[in-house]
Amino acid sequence: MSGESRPAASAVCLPARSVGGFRREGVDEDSFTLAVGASELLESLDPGGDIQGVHLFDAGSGDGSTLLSTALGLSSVPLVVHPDREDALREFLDARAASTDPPSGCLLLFVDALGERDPRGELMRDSAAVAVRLGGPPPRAPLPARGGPASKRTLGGDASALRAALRWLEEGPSRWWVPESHVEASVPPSPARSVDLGGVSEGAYVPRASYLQNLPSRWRFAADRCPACGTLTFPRRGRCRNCSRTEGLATVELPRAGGIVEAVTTVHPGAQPSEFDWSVERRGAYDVALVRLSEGARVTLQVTDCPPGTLHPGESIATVLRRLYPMEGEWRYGRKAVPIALTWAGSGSGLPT
Amino acid sequence: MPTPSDRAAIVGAGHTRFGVLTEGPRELLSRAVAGALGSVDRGMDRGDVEEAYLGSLGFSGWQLGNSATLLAEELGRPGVPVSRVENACASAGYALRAGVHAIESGARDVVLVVGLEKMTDAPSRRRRYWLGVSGDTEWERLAGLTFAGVYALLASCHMQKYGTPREALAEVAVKNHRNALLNPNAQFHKAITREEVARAPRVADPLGLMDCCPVTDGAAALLLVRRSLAARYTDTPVSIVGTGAASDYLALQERASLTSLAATRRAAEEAFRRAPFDRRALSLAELHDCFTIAELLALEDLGLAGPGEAARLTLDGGTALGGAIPINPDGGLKAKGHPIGATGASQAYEVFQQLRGAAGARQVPHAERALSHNVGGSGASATVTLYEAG
Repeated sequence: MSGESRPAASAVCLPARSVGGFRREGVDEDSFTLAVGASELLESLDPGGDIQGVHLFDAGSGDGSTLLSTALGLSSVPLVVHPDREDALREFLDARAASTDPPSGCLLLFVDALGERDPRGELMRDSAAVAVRLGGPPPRAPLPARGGPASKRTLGGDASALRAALRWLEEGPSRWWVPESHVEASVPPSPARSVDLGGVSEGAYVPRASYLQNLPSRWRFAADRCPACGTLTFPRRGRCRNCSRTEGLATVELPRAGGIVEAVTTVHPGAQPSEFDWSVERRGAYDVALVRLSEGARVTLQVTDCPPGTLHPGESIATVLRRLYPMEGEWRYGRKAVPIALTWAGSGSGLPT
Repeated sequence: MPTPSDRAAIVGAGHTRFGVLTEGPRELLSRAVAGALGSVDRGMDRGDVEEAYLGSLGFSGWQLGNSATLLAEELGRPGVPVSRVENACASAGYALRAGVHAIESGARDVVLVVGLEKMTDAPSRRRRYWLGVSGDTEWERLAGLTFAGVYALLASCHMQKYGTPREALAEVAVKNHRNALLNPNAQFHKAITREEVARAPRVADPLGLMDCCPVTDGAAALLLVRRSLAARYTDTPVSIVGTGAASDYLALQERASLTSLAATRRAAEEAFRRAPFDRRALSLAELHDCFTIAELLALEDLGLAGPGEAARLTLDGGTALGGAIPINPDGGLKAKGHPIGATGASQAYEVFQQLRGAAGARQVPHAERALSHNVGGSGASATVTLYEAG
């Protein structure tokens, strides 16, 4: 794929509480991207209520359902995996039609992990997600564009499933809010793909299995509360960090917006771990912040979407799911910090890139 | 606790030059060990060594497993039990502690402790791998931090809480470079100014290049014997009268304090509890100044300065040669160099010279009691060792 310019990733942000879409174009995306995108979408819709069901079309690696469950915290939500996209879309739409009197705030989610591979094993097509909110709280302010000039575009490209779903929504019963136009905020295209996703890691190594095991902590800031001593353990490690109890730990999710910066440093080119060489080559220096999420729980996060040196101790941040580092053939995703002044309505998730 | 005669005492010590060296790991080991044996006043037969400990991170992966065996080979005594002790930058501090315990427990009478690192023969990408693997990998390194970044966060917190001025960090580097001018083994022989430190390329704010220790090759070796047997070897041994060690969470994000290293505080408490003297009796101290902020943290955590007062002590010259408590007369990690696994042994080498009055131009007058402090990573492990002449 070298030398081929990569299209812009884009977030489809609909100024409505009822529907939103997320789409990625590009050739180097994978199941992670899908799950990240779906998760971003849900956060941007601010789901206060339950997710009623998820229909997943996944022709990719087959990791989609696991990753999606983890990303969305869907342990008790039916997730239907369809090997055929038309079936997936039809069932999604049927389910949508059947939900005439839904509980407030429930969501239907359609995720399209097109994930077709070329002969070299590269993923060739888009991932897309459509969420339908059935009732729920009032809409948030429109999501401002960040990371580049905003532009209005209609949906296009290969995201035909997404397009079809949105078209259906537009044609649907009028009591559902129908967007008149789709505001699409685009981010500048990344340079042509040149990141070596690597064979054997030359750097510090986190095995894929460990990464997947820790996804709830990494993506959703899942922590364990000890029923005996009340101590919060983050990241989770299956036992209380204070009293070592393993039974009855209650999973809580730490706030993903509203953390306070305790310390921050700008890492200049040359001082980055080798896993971040690609990032420094493209964007230069970056900030890393130590963030207090709640009493007794901190997390170390790379800062994004603002020039280095923007963030200061004592200030608030929100978090976004982003690409963190390449390892052994795939991108690893996790949360990064964004100064809260730059986020949508002072909280929430911001745009995926 | 051991009786004074059952304590360990250093009777010989060897040290290679520190810097960018042509020698490989085997030659560095060989020179350090030969230097230690050759330094024993009444001589020591290689066959006297009953057990040996090698402090080393892994010298760029050159011999990742079983590397202490090289030590037995260089000692010319394959058969002697050897083991590598690895606690990142505190590897040799812990190897020394293991040697002391072997003697204090009664298991051994004569022990060799060596610290070794060969760092400059690896390409920079590989080096950055080895330099950054001793912290928390998943949550800290892979959030984009090497150790410079982690210590920068600590510096950021210290400056916020105590108003620690940037010049105090710079002065640590200036003072240690000045001391290194007097140490022929040091990597740098170049005086620097606070302005030069401030103008140096930025690495991880607030730390610049001259706030950071260099990448270094080198080795140091120590011969430890039961104190009651020391007279066979020398009239001027240096007794190890207290050791302490402690650990902490790997990642800063899980620690209670961000302006202090709890592992250092706990290690110091243990060491002083065992020693027959307190902090005020120290003639000098070898502190782990991998970054300038680290020396300020250590001064406070060891109780040599009150909380937030290390900057003032440093800016007033209290830690310089001739000051109230000379710190790092050999130039410290900053200017002598920091071959990761060798540093703890190198610190003990300097104490051995100082407490025997053999430190030459950098000699602290009437030095009788000293402390060495060795930190692993950003404070996930630490040792404190207390020494007394005689």
